[in-house]
Amino acid sequence: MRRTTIALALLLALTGCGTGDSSPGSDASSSAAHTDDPDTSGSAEPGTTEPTGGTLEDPAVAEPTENLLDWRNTGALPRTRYVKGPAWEALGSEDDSTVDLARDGDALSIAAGSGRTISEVLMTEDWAVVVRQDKAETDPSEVDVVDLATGKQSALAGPAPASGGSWALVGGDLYYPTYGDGRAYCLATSALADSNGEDAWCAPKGHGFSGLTASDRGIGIMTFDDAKPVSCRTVNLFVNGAPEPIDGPAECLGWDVAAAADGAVWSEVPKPRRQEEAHFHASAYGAYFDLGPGLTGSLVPCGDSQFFVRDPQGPDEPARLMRWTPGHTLEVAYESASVGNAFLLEPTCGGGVLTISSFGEKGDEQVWASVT
Amino acid sequence: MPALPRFLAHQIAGGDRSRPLWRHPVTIAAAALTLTLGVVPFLPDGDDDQGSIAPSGETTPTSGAGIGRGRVTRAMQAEIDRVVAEGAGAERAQGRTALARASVRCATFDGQRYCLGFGWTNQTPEALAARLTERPAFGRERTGDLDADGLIARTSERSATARAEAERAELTLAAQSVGKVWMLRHEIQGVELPADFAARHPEVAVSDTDARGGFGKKYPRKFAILKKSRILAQNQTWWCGPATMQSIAWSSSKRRKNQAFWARRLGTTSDGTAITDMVRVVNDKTIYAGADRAGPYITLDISDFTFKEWYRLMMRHVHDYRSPVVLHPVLLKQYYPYLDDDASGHFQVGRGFDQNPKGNPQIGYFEPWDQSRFDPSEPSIGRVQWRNAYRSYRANLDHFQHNLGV
Repeated sequence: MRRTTIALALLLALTGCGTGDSSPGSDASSSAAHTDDPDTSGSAEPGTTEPTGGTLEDPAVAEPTENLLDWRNTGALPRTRYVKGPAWEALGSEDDSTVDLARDGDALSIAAGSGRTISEVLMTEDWAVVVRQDKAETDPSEVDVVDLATGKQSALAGPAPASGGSWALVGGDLYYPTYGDGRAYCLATSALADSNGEDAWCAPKGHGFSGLTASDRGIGIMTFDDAKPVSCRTVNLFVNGAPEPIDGPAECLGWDVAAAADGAVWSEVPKPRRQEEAHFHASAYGAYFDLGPGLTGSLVPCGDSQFFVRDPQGPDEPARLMRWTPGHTLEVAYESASVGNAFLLEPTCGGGVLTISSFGEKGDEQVWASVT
Repeated sequence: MPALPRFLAHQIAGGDRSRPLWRHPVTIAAAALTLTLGVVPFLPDGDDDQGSIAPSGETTPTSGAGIGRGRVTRAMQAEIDRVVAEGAGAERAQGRTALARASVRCATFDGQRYCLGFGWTNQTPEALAARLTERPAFGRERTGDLDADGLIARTSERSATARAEAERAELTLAAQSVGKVWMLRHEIQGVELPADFAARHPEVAVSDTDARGGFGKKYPRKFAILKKSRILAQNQTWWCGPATMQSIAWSSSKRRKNQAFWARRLGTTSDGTAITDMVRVVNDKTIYAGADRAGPYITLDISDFTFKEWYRLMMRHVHDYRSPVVLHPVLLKQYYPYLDDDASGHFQVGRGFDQNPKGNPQIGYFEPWDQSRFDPSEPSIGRVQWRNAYRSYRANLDHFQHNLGV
């Protein structure tokens, strides 16, 4: 495996269906454009310095510092599907039959419809995407796209989605699973502003993918084979339209992955009988960092950072939300009020606004905070 | 897009296409018969749960519950007759609320309340019926326990004779088990035993709970039972009950019967399996219901259990009784982050604990649900798992029945 740079030629390739510069969702593409030259990986982001990480064999341990975000209660029940964006918020019903989108002075409601359930709600600054999955999981998912500038609602343009699977939205670009020729399991992309889309990449025979993450920095994806009882899993970033394994993760053990400033964040699940216990790592400029334990499947890029959840590490410890920053530092962004017996859910991100649900013996809460 | 292989060996690519066949009622029986033989999964060595714990349930219990089946007294029999008689005409009840009330009828045996379909509880029948009338989760994937709709439908679909027979059997088993209920409430929740308890329940060996130091300090840090190879993935989406039962019975008899066998004995339908049927079959078909193990299994409402009490129950059952727990969580992504989709109520085999003093308390369990068999977008994971026990406790509490089999 060769090192994957974070030069996001992937977005150029994946968005051959492209997002126009004038589109509301052009931020992603324009952000990506500044990194489309792989050789730019030698310069730090403005305001950052070259990291002092370790080697792959002896990574530098990133000691977290506390830098809690300004969290506010959502007013919703902690188990409710809720996505907060800079202006809009999406609130799902408890039975996943409807989702209400609202901002000051505007509101609209989307119903799952007969035989369907709301399975995904994605949001950026400019777009909301509501996925309505067939209850029997046989027919393709149906998708409502909402232009948040106008409130105009439309159907998805692009290949028919598969039922379920992993979805990601960045700027105005939607990534989702579909079926290609011969029922190959494929990743599709749709440029929402341009109302076009196409299959971008198909998993080879006997392989699949999940764990999509998307940010201005790139698209992350876990690919896996059909080995039993445990799949061999590889974590990748998209480069030139295809997933390319990142350099660092132990073979077959990867799970989470997201592009990060000057590198990537990923997790490994070293013990197959402890599926929920992952160990997180980061890379930057070829240097490596040990980010410590975290919850498998909880990595989410949001704003300029990547976040993951950590269970209490002792009877007097809270559950924590960890943040890997563009300055290559590890921070604690949230701590639960409960200690010991507590846990957080995978965060959701809507256009740089993070929402998290916290469960524990001292009570549950659902809170949001702006990352940027 | 480049040319792609026409056929993919794995359901990753064909999963959505094949799913209708899996779920089509006409094909269920044939598929069930042909798919139950699987390969016992062997996980790679190297996990830290090997070698540091008692190897399996093959070993002799240290104590066991010391609880046998009690005698059904005249008063108990009269109570059984009363509750069964109250159900006359239940199949003719109209409307969800009426059907729910007709379904949830309760008996009081020796001061403890048992409600049909829910088990031993401190809740009122009205509160339990309300759990049935709440709108069921819409569109969640069904992994196989009997949901509120299924419980209500069972009441209305059974003939009067069949319903009375099933209810009489369920209540009789409950009456025989009331001594265990008292003991568990005494040992786990600190409820004082009646002064004449020993005389009224000679089938129960009263233990000295103080000797256990509150059920935490004197247990080993980590302990597990059941051989790790004795679990297979459920081979129908709604067969978590048969797969869980297969695993428990396999450990009990050392012989494996297929899931179709257990589906028949559990009365499993495409609506799923009732926890009271899980408890019934564990009692009928395994060694774990013996006095030297857990004694008669009961369906126990844990909605008034704190996490600490719930965890004590796991330790008591696994370590002292050397017997598995029928876990009964709701399978939501928020509690099981490895899932791809939210799913329904579910059964798992509870078989270990790790007090993990430097972290959070953990439980060990067998997970029969292998979503990679039914969903094309998730990798295979192991059937043997350890996890944050508080997540499992909350998943148990979030199930509309709030109960488990112990």
